[in-house]
Amino acid sequence: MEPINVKKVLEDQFKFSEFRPGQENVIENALRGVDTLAILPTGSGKSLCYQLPSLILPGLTIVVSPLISLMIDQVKQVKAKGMKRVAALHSFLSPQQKRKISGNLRKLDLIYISPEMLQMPKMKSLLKRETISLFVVDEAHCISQWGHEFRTDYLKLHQVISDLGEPPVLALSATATPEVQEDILFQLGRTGACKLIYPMDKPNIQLGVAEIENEQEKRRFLIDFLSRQKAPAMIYFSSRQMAEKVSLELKANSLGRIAYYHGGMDPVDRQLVQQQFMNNELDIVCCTSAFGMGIDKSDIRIVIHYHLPPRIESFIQEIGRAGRDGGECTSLLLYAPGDERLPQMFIQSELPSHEQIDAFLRFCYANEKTPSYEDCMHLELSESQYNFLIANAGDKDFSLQATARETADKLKERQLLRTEQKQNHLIHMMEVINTPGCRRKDLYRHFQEGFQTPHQKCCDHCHPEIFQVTYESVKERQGLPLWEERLYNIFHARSSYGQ
Amino acid sequence: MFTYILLDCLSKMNAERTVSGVYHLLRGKKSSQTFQDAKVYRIEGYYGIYPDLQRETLDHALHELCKEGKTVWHDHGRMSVTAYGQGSMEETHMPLYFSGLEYSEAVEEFKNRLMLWIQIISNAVYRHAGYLPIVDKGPVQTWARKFYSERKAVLDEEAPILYKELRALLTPFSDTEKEMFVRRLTGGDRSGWTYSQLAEESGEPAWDIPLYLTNMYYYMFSEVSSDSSSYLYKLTEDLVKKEAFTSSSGKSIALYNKFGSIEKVAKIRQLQPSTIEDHLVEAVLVDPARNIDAFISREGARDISAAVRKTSTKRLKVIREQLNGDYSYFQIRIVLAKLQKGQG
Repeated sequence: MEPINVKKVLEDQFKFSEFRPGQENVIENALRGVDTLAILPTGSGKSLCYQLPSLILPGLTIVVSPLISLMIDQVKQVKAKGMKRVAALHSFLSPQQKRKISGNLRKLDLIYISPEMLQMPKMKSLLKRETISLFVVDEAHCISQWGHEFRTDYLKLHQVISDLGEPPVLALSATATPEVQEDILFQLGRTGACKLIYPMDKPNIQLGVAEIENEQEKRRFLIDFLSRQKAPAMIYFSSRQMAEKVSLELKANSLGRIAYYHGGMDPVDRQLVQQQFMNNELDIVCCTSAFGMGIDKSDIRIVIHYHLPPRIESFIQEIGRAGRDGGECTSLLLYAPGDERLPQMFIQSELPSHEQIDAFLRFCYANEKTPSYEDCMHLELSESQYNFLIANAGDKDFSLQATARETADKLKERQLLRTEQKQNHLIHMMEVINTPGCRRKDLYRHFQEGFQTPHQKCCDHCHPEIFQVTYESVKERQGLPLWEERLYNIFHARSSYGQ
Repeated sequence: MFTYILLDCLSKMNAERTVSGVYHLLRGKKSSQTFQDAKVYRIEGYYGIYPDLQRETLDHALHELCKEGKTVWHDHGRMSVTAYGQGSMEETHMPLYFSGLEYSEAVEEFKNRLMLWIQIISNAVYRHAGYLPIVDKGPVQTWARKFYSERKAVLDEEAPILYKELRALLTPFSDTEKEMFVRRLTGGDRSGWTYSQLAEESGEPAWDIPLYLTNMYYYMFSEVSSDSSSYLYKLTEDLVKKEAFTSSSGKSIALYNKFGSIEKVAKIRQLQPSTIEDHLVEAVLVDPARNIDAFISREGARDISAAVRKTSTKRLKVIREQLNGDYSYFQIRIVLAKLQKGQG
């Protein structure tokens, strides 16, 4: 493949004049059919690494993605760029929609598919008839128990790849420690793959952790800090109610155009908040981690964490949304003593208790089968607790009473191990908070040796003055026109209303 | 508007149904029971006008009404409107255009089409390419793709026509409503506003916003769908009135017309006879002229009518007791269905 060809596709189809760091090498590997593990930091344009090759490669490119909402967002965005031969297959579609897509595979360049759809025998046999040019595992860290978002159905991908005739594999992730990287390749049966690892640190971000006495002071600090800013900002919360509540309080303090965003909102409303933020019609979005997946806004200057993130990986991913244009940006984490209790509670609710393990197994052995989630209603399991039990109980012969105790012991051991891992993630996060030294050093040390020299200031320990930072990038927009003028403007491109 | 509609429903239902009945009605639940309630209590206009209504929102609103002394709770989740509540309704005058039982699906589709089409035509006028469609429902997008391909050459000429038509269609509404309608639209260089943003700007309660907008779309739909010379007629021509029955009822009724036996229809359809009875009640609700002699004697029908008048309720249990249990619930229901036009 001529490199000049690739550049032209980038310009014509994606409207970029050059590649971001890393993209070109990954694309080259994909086009040459080399198995690859690529670790590219958030905001470096990971999806382009398979979208572009899919246009050039002769056959179909399959992308396995863990989140349906993410898939739908991606397809929307690719289609908005003018790529039409793209579809997503997942359980939210009606049977007719599924049939329509799976009957037209040959007309597609790129298909996003959820891991559970990929397990279906019918789906597999349909895909087997196609030439698969590239098999992409997006968010590949989900395959590893050591990663921060383990998904059991990712474990079966190795089998799927082999059923599909061993097409070239591209595993992508933004956050994977060296340990997780090894595990990804082992689980995919691709230990010989080419590794393209790019540093995760963002030299243009300044890291601040503000230690604050209590909740009320947090609010005061936030208002004071934001009153000095006129720039696109995101504030992350771990609860929907708090995102709404604080957004109202900030509005009451006239801190600009502010909205909240979380998974519980009307779908059109969610779309509108995204668009408003992208179009600079909003300055600040108070959100949960549901926001950001589909956001490709380059000029976000500030990312604030109102609550303590449970893991370094999610923290790095979220601050990665700032400063994609390469300009200076700031991360601010607000910490009050005792804040670690909230993520602690989440850890407990994600894994089953010993009592739940025993009750679950009693149920399995009594019915001699693996129960569905609905079957387990009386055990009051959360979805992640159920997933844990299913993944770790495995396909046991539930007619053998003798193994009941062994299975229980094994599950409890795993549960302890997982709890410990999650606790460790939280401990690592707390180390960044408690370190007397450089925060940058502490934040990235689990992923890589050292870090790039920061473009501006490093962190609040190296440069205590970073809390005084101010940004003024938002232009004041004209006041709102009344409905008549606004309606006129929708249908007439040059604003000549009233003339 | 929301509380007005709640009071209207509660007062017409006269504490004979639980408040869940109102919830299912507003969300447009596709069940015989909801359908019959809509007809019997004459609140069919509100059927399906608030498909996204959350149970918490309803509970909150009911709680407020109760606190203000406009309603009182009865046992078993039923609620009635107080004299004060009735008075407050009479003070509220707002033109409502809802005809949900017949058109809720058509108007919902029309609303989505119009919002998406305005975005498309505006982006064409502004020469914007590559944007995210504001409505991501499959059928709406399929419609829009087809409509666009037929007229992409003439969008510049059509934009001012659509503008003038919308302006005219907005005339009967208040300034607050006009602002709401226009701000919700995405197009040109601005995105539409969320419900909570519209609520904040207008000072109206957030739960009213979807209803204000839907009410306007009902008005627009009825205006343009009956005027084939209008531009927006083309967005409505293939949208039809909802079929009178749920499709399952339609099947039962057709089979009954053929065989004239409830047991036989139940056997063919592998359903309980009581379900077939539900469907036959539906048939009478839709067509009160339908003959019911096969289910009850003329004399029996007269007895039941008299009992309904005497007890002035539509609660089956009370009516049946009044009649000393001489008639079945099915017989009472079918007579009630027949009586609907003569009541209220």
